Amino acid sequence: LNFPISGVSVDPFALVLIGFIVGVLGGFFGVGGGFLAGPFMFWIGVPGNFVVGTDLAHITGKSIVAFRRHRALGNVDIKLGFIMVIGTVVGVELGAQIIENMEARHSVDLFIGILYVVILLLVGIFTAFESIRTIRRIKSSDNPEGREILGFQKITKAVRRIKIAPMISFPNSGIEAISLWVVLGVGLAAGLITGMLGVGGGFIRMPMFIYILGVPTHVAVGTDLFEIIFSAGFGTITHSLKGNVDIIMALVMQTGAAVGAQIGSIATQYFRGPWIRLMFSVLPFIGVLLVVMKLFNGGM
Amino acid sequence: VESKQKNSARRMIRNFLIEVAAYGALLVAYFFFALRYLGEPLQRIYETDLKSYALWGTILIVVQAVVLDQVVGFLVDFFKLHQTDG
Repeated sequence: LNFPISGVSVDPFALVLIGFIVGVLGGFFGVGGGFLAGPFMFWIGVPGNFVVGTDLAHITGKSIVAFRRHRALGNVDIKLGFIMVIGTVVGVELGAQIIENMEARHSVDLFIGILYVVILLLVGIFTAFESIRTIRRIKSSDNPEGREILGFQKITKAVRRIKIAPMISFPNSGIEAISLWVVLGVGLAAGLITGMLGVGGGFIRMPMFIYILGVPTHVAVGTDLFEIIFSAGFGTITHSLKGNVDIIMALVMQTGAAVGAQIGSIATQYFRGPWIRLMFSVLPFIGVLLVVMKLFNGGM
Repeated sequence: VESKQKNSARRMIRNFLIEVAAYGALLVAYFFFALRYLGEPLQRIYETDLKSYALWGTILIVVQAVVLDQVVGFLVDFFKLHQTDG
């Protein structure tokens, strides 16, 4: 099928399939899925300059569908999401500035690649280690507690001890009191990494929600999707202004992504937090593989 | 109790599949609608005014997501498929 805006002929069913796969992952793990969709779009013949923008456009729509479903399930903390968005936006801008300054002096592709790989490996290994430990604990216990158990709470406890005013509560996430500055700081850190690496950031935010702020896994998934609507939406607008978005292609991808997002969101109901985290831990390793392949094929 | 649980799970899966099928059908219909009627006007806007293109593109993406989700929500209510919502 010919897509006149990007000027290419691409199999629409392949686009729908990519959207569907990314939709399931997004609905289930609360990630944008750009790390997977991007390379696949490039592979089926979407021009490089249209890949990122078009991917962001369909991620925006898919995240809206998944967010609405998660909200119906009570898995979204809107207040937390809004505050995180503020920190993230500032962080993304800051990260992009840092990279721009570094680029002015020397090539940073290799540095970004290595940083990306290190961060993803840390996230993947830690999440796998924690979730496996927790699952073992649940299996050895006669009376497993609720659907959410966290095997590593040291960071969360340390963060809760910070009492810099104003203190705020997030009842939907079960957080009685936490410093506003901590939440903004976490958003800023996630945004900084996103801005520096040029990726969506679901990889980073999801574990931060869980292990630093102490948000239950299901709520972390839903709230992260809420944030992705803003970050991907903003990216869609900026890329559209540069003429790098094929909206028709994005709408076609979204048809598959919307169904996938519904399935992924509903599927979270049937898994407890540690199992979702264990499955999530595989994603960073896929990300590492893709980045290493990119680096070996000549730069990011 | 076990038989009740099995029936409930079966019903939930059936309802879920109906919901996904309804959603899929709506999306396929929209898919052809989008390709047939939106392609040309969007290309024209893309070639003449990128600001309007960015605006319309974002609106279309958001509206597609919200409207389709609401239509499915209506169908779920209409056919009493609430059980998939947990």
